[in-house]
Amino acid sequence: MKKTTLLLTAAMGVFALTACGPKNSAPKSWDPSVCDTLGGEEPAAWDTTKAANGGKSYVYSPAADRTEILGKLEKWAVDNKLTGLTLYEDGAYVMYNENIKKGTNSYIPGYGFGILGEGSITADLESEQNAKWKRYYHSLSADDPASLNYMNDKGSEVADFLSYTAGSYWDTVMNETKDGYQWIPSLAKESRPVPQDLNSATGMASTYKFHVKTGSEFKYATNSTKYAAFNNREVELEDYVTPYKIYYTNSYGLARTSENLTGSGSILGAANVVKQTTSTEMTDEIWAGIGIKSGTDAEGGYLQFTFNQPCTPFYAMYYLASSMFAPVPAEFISTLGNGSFKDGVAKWGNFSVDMSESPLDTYLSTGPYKLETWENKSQVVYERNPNFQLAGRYSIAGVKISIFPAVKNDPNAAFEEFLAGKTSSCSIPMDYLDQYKNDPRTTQTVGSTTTKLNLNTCTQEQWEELFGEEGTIAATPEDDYWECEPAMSNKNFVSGLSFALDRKTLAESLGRTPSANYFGSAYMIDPENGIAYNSTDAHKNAMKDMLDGTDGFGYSLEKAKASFKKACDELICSGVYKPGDTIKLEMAWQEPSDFDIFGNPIKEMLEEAFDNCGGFLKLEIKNWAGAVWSDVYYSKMMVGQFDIGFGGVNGNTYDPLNFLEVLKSDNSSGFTLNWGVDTNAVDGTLFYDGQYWSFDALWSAADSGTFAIDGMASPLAEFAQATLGDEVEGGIMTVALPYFAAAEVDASFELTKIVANGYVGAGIDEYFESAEVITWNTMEYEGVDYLLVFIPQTVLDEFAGMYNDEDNYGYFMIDFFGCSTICGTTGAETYMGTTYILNPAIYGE
Amino acid sequence: MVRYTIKRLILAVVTTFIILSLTFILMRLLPFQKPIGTNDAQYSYYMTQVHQGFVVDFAVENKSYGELLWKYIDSMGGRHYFYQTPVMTQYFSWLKNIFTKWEWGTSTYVMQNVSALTIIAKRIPTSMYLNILSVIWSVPLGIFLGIVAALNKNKPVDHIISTSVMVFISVPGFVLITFLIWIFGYKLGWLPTQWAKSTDGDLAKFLSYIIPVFVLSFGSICGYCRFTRAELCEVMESEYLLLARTKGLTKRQSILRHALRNAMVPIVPAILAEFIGILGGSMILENLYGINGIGDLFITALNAKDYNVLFVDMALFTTISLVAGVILDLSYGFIDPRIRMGARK
Repeated sequence: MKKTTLLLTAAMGVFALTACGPKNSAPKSWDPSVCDTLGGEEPAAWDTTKAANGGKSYVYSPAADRTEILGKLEKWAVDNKLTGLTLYEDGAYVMYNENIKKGTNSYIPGYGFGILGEGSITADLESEQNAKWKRYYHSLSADDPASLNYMNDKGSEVADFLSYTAGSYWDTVMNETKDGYQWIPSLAKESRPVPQDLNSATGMASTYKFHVKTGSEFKYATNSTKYAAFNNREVELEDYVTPYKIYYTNSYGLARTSENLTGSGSILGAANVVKQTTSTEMTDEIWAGIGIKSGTDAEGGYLQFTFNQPCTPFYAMYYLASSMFAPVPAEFISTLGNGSFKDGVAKWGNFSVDMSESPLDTYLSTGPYKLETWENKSQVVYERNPNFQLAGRYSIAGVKISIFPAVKNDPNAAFEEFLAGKTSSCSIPMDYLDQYKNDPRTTQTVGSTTTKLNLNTCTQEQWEELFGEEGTIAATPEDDYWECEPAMSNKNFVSGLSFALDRKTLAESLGRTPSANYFGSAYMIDPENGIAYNSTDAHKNAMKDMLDGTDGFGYSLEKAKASFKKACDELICSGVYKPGDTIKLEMAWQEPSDFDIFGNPIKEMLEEAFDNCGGFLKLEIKNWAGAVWSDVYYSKMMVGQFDIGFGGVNGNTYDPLNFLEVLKSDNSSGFTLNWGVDTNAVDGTLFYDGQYWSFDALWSAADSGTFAIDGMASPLAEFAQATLGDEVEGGIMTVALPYFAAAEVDASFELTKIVANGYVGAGIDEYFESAEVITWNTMEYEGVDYLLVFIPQTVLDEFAGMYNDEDNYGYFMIDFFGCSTICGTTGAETYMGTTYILNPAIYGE
Repeated sequence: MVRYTIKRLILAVVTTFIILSLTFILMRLLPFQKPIGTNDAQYSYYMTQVHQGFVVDFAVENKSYGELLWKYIDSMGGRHYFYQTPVMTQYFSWLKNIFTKWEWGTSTYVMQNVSALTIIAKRIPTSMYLNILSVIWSVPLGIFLGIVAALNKNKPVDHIISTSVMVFISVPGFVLITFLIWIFGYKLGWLPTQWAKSTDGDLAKFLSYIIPVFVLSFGSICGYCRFTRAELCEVMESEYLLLARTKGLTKRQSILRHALRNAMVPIVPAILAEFIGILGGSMILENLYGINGIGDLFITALNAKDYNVLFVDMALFTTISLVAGVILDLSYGFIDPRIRMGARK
């Protein structure tokens, strides 16, 4: 009886559960007929006769036109998911200690609350043991960079420590209404650099001049006892030039070779010197080729800079206002190196080899603060620099940075320190957000960086082209090849990932500002008038397709499921996956602590949306973090070793168009993080000025001018390889080299130099000795342009030694240099390419 | 005894040399770790290796040098073919630098251009103070608890001590320190939440020792306690102790004069071994509490592949272990009169 009752109850239970459950209308097995309904996605048809061709430049176009170009480029990038999956802006809820009086209560993008400049500290920090430091601003840093030499820093850590103690030509102060900021001269005398070759039509110039403070107007400061002789030493005009000479001397091997070398704001002739193959010391001759001059006139010492590209006085000021080039006496560098300038450069801003000297000794202050203590891995303390030009406006007496490695492993550690009264401010971590979000001490900041999930959407073939053993971006040993997950190169799958991200919920739970925008709020299209790019119609149009039908931040579960479903159908129908397969992705993070904060919630969002789309595939996401935070950039995203990677980069907030360079697939910026789309391909969707463009071509045309062929950015000259002949006349062998050189409308190219660059022996120092004597001529034969390169007997004699060695010496190389002229603007002499002169004994005639 | 000591010390030096040589050669014999990075970054990495003498850079292929590590055409068209320098060449130049210049190389990451030896030398005192304090604190306490447990064998006191020891020995140091910082640092505010700075007051410096010393000694206390209890229990059941009691010694006298001394024979060497163990165990703790010691340095150097610093750090640990081994051997003679070092038969 009991058994019967039990069975009956169980049967009724099962029946009830079945009846009450949601009616699932989705098919239970995959239906192959779905493939018949899938239409193949044909590339958009476009009129190839309208492709951009010839020299193109929108560098001097009105601001409205350049904004329109920026909007079109942004839209193309968003549509192709080149901008990754945006998450949030780096602004946060920040809590300030009660003893901090801010300069303004409204956060000013790009400036902050004006704590050190316009703010003050109204009471002692009780937890501080040192009486003198009780009214210093207290903060934490996870690491000690052990250096103030920003020129040799691969990251940005040194810059944070340097900013307190290094001056710049111009500085910023809060405006009178406390809702913005303005630029004022600091080491410079004029409010803006003065143009020397002004084009009145464009308001731009390439050469700018300004006077600098020297002599009794400006003195160095240091607390070093060993180098006390340099304390209060007057700054001389030559001291302003010394840091540039150090930076541009490539034999010093300084790691940071990006500032002032490429793109907008690059100095004429600098890149050619820094990026030379051979180890070169700075000589007067080399220095003469660089666009920096100094001199003295009736108003005192001045500096003159010539940029590669013309710009307005405002931008010239902005490009030059870098604390990296704060003045330093050559005598100080030599003293550091006990008479050796080179040894002094190695020691400048660093600890000495025996650690008897710290950056306190090896760096002279020119900024608002000077070093008071540098205790390695413990604390770095600055006190106000009485010699600073704008000393009066810094009311806070000092800054103390405690090194606190625990913050790398514990996201709450820094905030616990703040709550214990040990620091002046701290952003509120997720765990404490609800508790302190509405605290009167809490404020909200706006960021300049949008943090994203960057994407590797390469197919395996594309990946190997970019990152394989012969990769154009990074050569990877075969054992370390990344296995690209095929789903990542499916557009609908990537769209699904984007729609599935509930940015608003995620960001709010973290105390951040959700954002679907590629640019942070601080990016200005018109910095002098304070107009943010994100407020323009160009930006709104660019984002329209992505945001329509979503919560305003790109989230829509329905759209996500629809995109995923379509992606699954396409992937199964194409035979890439079988029904029931699992798509396995790896999401790379900076720290293991990111797993809980970002990784797991995002993994859950994406997996849930995908697994419920009815696509008969599963999604499995695995979190990854490296040994150090920067691994996610250098070992993952920058070298294609990832599916999805967390991170963001920021650029010049006054030049958003230039910042788009980091999206180019040729990695010309060195910081491309999203891979898989060829940005120099024309797909018929980027149309401007009545012409079709590739992303690279339109970007280059707006940034610096470009030469386009069939809508693609192209080199102005190309050189084919040639084979050595046997005839030598007058000690010169003539080699005919088929080449192409543009002579189109608005674009031309002039060859200026050919240098033999092959090595004749097994040692690195054995160059051709006759490099400078190679001459050339041009001729046309049967419709093909030829470059006749006259190779001297001396070069041939050197090559003779390797001529018959079939193993090693099959060719030598010659390098080409020249100047390009685009739309009337002639650029500086640059390296144009290399070609091979082949040994006929090996390669045949 | 003196001869024996000198002989052992010479042997320790020879052993150190052999260990370091083998370590160097084996580390260098490992497959070359090819960097992953942009071409510029890889070029920079290889050139650093060239400057350090571990890699050679040729302008053309040179097949006599074995496997080509990487070839690169730089931005100016220059060719670079990188090969590993023969291991023994590296070894002899390494030896030459040490013996002729006492040069162990400079740091490539932890503190760029600073001598690896200097970096270690600056950090040893902190780690040593911590570890010595930990031993000073843990040995008497551990032994005392062990004695109490042994004397009260199978009584409630013994059960409480033994159970507590089992529980606490299972708690990893990094869990314990996080817990202690949270309770005594953030919640109660009695102790510092990180290692004191040189500019902090004496009281703050003293207080900042409490948490790390306690955490470092926690495992040791439990170890000594278990060891002492086991040894003492065994000795107390021996016949010679029974004989001592029958000869009229009180329990207290027999334990102090006979049982404890005999029980100490294996415990004293364990103290030295524990000291070395603590040195290794302080790596994570130093990192979490912001202590500028050699344990934290080892982790940082290992993560950043700063081989020169890593190698000096390893050399130090090896030397400490070997010297401790010599002291350990010599200590037997002092503790146990039956053992005579180097005595002729």
